Amino acid sequence: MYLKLVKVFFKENFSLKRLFGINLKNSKAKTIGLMVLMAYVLVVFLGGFGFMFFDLAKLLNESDQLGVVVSFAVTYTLGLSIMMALLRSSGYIFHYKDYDILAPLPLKGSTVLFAKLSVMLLMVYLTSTFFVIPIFAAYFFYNGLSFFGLLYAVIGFLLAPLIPIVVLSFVNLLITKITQRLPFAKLLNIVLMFALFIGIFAMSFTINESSVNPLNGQIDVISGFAKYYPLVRFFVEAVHETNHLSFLLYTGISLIIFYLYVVGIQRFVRKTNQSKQNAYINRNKKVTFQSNSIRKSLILKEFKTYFSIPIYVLNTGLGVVIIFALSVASLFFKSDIETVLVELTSMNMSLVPLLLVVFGFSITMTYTPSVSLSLEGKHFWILKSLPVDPFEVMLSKILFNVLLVVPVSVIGVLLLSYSLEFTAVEGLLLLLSIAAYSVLSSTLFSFVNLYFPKFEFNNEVEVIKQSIASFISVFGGFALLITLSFGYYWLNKVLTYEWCLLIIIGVMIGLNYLLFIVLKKAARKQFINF
Amino acid sequence: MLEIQNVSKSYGQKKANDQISLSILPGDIYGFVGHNGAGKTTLLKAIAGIIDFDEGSIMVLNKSVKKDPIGVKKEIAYIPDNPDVYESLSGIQYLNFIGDVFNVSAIERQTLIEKYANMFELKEVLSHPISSYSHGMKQKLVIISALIHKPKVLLLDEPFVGLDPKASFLLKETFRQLCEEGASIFFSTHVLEVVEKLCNKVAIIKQGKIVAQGLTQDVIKNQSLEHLFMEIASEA
Repeated sequence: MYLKLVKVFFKENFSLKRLFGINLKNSKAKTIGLMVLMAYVLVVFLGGFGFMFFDLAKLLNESDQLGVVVSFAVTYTLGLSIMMALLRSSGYIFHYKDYDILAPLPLKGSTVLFAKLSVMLLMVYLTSTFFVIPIFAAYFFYNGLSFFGLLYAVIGFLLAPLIPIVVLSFVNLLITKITQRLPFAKLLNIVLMFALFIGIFAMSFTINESSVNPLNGQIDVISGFAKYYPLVRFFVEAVHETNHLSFLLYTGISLIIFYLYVVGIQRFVRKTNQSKQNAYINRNKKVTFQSNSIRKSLILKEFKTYFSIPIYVLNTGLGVVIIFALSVASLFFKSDIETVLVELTSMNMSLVPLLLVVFGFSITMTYTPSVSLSLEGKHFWILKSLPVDPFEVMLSKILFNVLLVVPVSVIGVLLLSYSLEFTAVEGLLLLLSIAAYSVLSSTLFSFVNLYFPKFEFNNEVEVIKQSIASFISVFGGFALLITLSFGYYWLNKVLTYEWCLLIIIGVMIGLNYLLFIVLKKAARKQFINF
Repeated sequence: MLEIQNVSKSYGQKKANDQISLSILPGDIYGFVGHNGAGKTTLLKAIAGIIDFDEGSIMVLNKSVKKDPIGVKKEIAYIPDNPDVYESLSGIQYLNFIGDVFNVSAIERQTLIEKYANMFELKEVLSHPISSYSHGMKQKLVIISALIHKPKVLLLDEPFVGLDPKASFLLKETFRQLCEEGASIFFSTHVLEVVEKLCNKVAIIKQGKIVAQGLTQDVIKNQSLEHLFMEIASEA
């Protein structure tokens, strides 16, 4: 029965239709396009990531510290497990949506729970594999392949997520319990999660200034982490030194804790699933009958949806947070930046275009138009039955994204202009470029969602993180940015950087105008076909 | 008011609607019955402009659904079989959103929202998030949202499902009142007694084809609608 349940849950989460949102059998062109894109991304990612780790493994091997590479593999898996447990354990363990279907069935609670946890683990394995394969490839390349080394690496990898899931699922439950009965519960949840992620992010990306390879900066953090979490040490000893005792300790501790967790929380899981998740209701709130224009009303609806789904904000709001954090940081680290500026000047590079690349990456990470149409999901009948032009719907989604990015960017540019003493022309060029890129990327993202929607989902995370539209948008956005950077590079050979930027801004505006014309027709055509 | 001519719609090999023709006049309360999967929802969605249809024409107040979808949507209200509404909004925010889309003035929307919210006993919870509503409360909210812009044609897919007896009674009364004012109502249902008592016209759909239609009394003659329905269902 356990295997049957896992099969059903797995299909529910990972069937091709569920992953891609479209029936691939119906569209050969889309299938081929997707396969090519995925192959490209896979090669670029594995190649890039693999290159960094081969470089690191080579360095560490020379100083007889190759074991550190193994700790990277387990730490990355732990990191992903932490994220998964924080974001998904509520939906998988404590408040799963199919409880009413499963509870009346003659199934043991432990079987259902174990099946749910298995699917969650499969999710961690699938994502971690992308990181772990290049890491172990680099490690075994320099260390040489051994039977026990490989066996312990594989088993160790499979057991790595168990304890983080046990611990972090309770943290997630605690955060939800604390915040759900407070006003602005979702916002508090978002702030807490952001604080947690930024903390982990800041810690793990403490870049060593003297090094080109950013992984070098993480070595100290990972070594420090291993001190507090001895299982990382056991794992490294088991794989690198073929220490059988360490392997037994690692396996035993992981399995015993996980077993106790599965057995111990069954009643608790039944209780949380039976209890209703009561949100805070302000009973004194007055009813107002305010009228707005259609566009404003649609944009307000987007804002409400956005801040009601913490995972939506956490995944698409990071870019905006980075822009703001960097701009504020520029006020405090002025002298460090000036040192970099001197170096750049000696290399004949201008700061404004470089800053624009940073802004561009952050703006690309704000990809709401590539998922917001999909998120209409089962509510889509509302927009389809209302007298609203589909283009207006798409435009509201584009404008919402621009409104997320541009105001924060304006503050960012003002702060940067002050701390880096930009001229008015430089500040204006920055602003215009950011605004034009923001509109262009948002429009392109909305096209992606229009042609790759995913209206059927159980949890929003399936759309926000796992849909093909979000995948295409983020990587496509980076490709657009790189293309524009190349355009700048070639133009800069014959023109000053101000003129280059003006031309690129003009191109972006022109392109956007054309895209709007196409979007108008495309939206009307697609909406009726959904 | 609503003219459906030779409308066909297929999903792959399956014909959900096959050459359907119906005429709904001002003041009609038109019941639409058929077994599960007969094609009721498909036709209602096609009229509402939610899905496209392959052949035929649908005209609402002389406006074509294909050529002027926005113009048609301004005149109609559609209620689906499942009241899935934006759970991130409160009841009043949802109604204001619908009011904005239909350009209902603040004063008029206040009058109508208060009237219907009182009627369906939803006034006290209008400021609460929709996520806290029960299925029936959501159904009532969707009904109110369909009424606040005074549509000329109401298209409803099983509107009585999930309503308590009082709300069900009030909805029927509202239907009658709207039709007296000249509106048309076209709704699907499995509750045949409702059709018998409420509707002046009825259409029965089987495997995508209309097999009986007209004045309710002419269609059912001297038997009950249930008997007629069972007779039609058992025919090959």
